Amino acid sequence: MNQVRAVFRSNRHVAVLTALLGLLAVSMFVATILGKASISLPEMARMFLNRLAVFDFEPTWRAVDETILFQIRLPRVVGGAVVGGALATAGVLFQGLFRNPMADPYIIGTSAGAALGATIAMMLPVGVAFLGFGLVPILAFVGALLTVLLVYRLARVGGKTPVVSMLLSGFVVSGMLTALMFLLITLSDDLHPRIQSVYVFLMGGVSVSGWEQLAVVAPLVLAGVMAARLLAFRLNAFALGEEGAAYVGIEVERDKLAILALGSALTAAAVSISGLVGFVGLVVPHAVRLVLGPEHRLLVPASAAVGAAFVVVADLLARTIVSSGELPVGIITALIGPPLFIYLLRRGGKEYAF
Amino acid sequence: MRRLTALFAVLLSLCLIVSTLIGCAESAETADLVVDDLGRPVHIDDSAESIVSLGPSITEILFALGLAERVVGVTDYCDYPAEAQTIAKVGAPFPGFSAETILDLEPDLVLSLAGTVVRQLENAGVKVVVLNPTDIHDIYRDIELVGQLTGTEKEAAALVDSMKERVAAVVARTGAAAAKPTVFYEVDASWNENKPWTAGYGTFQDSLINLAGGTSIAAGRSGWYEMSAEEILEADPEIIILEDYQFGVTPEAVAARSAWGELAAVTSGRVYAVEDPNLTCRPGPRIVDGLEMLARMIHPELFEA
Repeated sequence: MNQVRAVFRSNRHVAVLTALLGLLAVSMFVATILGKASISLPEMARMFLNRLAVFDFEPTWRAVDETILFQIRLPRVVGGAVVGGALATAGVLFQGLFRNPMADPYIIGTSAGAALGATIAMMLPVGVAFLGFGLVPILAFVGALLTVLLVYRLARVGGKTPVVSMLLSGFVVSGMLTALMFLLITLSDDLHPRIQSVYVFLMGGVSVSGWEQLAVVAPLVLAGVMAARLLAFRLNAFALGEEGAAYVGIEVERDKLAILALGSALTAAAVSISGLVGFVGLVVPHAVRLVLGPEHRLLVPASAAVGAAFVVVADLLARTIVSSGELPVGIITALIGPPLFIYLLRRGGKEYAF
Repeated sequence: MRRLTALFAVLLSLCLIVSTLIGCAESAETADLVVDDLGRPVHIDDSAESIVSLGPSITEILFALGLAERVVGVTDYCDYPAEAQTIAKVGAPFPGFSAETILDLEPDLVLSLAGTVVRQLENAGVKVVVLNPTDIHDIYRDIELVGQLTGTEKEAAALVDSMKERVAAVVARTGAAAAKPTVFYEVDASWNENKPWTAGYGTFQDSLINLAGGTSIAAGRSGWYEMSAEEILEADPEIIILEDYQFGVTPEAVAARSAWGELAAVTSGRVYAVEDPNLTCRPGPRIVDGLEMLARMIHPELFEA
């Protein structure tokens, strides 16, 4: 076993990950300096230095510029990175677990559960808040997790949870919850004035309203990505099929549950601050696999970094390309994701090993 | 749901009473405590000098109070009065306002219809007051609140009085009418004429139809919903009002729909087009224009000369 582990550790991994984290840093930097309000780069630099409490530049900028940079834009950039990292990691986990190229973070019903939760929250009076979260993110998070629990429970037969029954029960539970959501939308008067909010939730958009929410979600996602990296060996084993995984010493049912729980928690965390951002969790793991290969020790952290950079850039476009107001980020990810992916798929003409 | 809302309201007023009692000991300031349409406390001072409006109806209120010069930002939809279109645009409620754009204008007051950007702006230290009227009395209240926030209480009182007077004048006539004709109010049938969207109980359109001396055939259910052509044919309304004229639905097109030709409204030629839908669905000062328009459609005999 130690020999196997040694083969996977290499300087190449370190180099690749350093480069990808650099990419993420560059994208976050660009997303921080660009926005609707124009603040000059030197001024921004001085604002940052002032915050470090070492320097004390005389402000040549408006007080509101500082508010825009630190209270509005930076949380958005960090929020985008958190959402992208979480969704891409969850995508790797679910694709690895289900050995299914169509798997994405939403495959076993998290999206439908979150959407129903958010819809219910929008029917209730505004004003409830917990740790800086409104009712919508809280119920979206809870809805996503409850749905996974239900799906897992329904799929469990005789102490085993076959992948096929999980996929199928996820599919039917999703369908039912989605129908329930539309039933509520159709029948509830309280929802009619907020129907557009439901719609925006379904299309996805990074909506952090300050640092409070990130202080909860960001550590959760970071820990989740690290935990996913620790599960990489097991994900590699699952590539052999469940029987194969059992032969190399994997406790199949226990590890399946661990991967499932981790992927669902990451997805629910992302959904709570962004609604249903599509395509990131499906395409980023595939793209990274195309370029770097299917080995999960590299695939997990690399996908997290690429997913984070991808959503940061998509969110930058979402908030700047229309002349007034903003676009939902989900539209951008679904528009720019596929062409990039098709390019990677067709490049070099080699066959794609999933 | 309504019960929940009621419970919420009761809890909220309890909180307010308690907080007022506590506040009395500290300062006289809390005597000014009022709440906005989401029940959130509003600190009243008349210092608002630069205002961003996040709703066309709010923009209309601000202009009607003579505050045009203090408005520094409006939505993409703020088109009345025409000069409102020259003010900086901050986006639209759908898909969303840009908090950066709004803050960049350095407002000291943001007036919003319910929306997601509220929390962001408040975290950034901007005063946000939510106006979310659900009937004509709320509109009066909102106009008075805007007056208080901007030091134009007198103008606000005058505006509300003139609106109330005009409403009373309409009601005096329609109240005396011998009958209340049945009305079908079509919000949108432009893409499916077999299931037109209509405005049920609790909507502005429904309450305006009532004040204008009509009876909506859609009042059996609340909110906006799709009504089946069958129900409409069965109810056989005496009057059809087309808000979807803005989308190209004309009285001729309604007459040409299969089976609609025999409706009383069509045979008697009482299918009316709403030329400016903003009069009936925008909760601002011009709602009274909308009421007068509907009253003329429903009771032309009372408004001759």
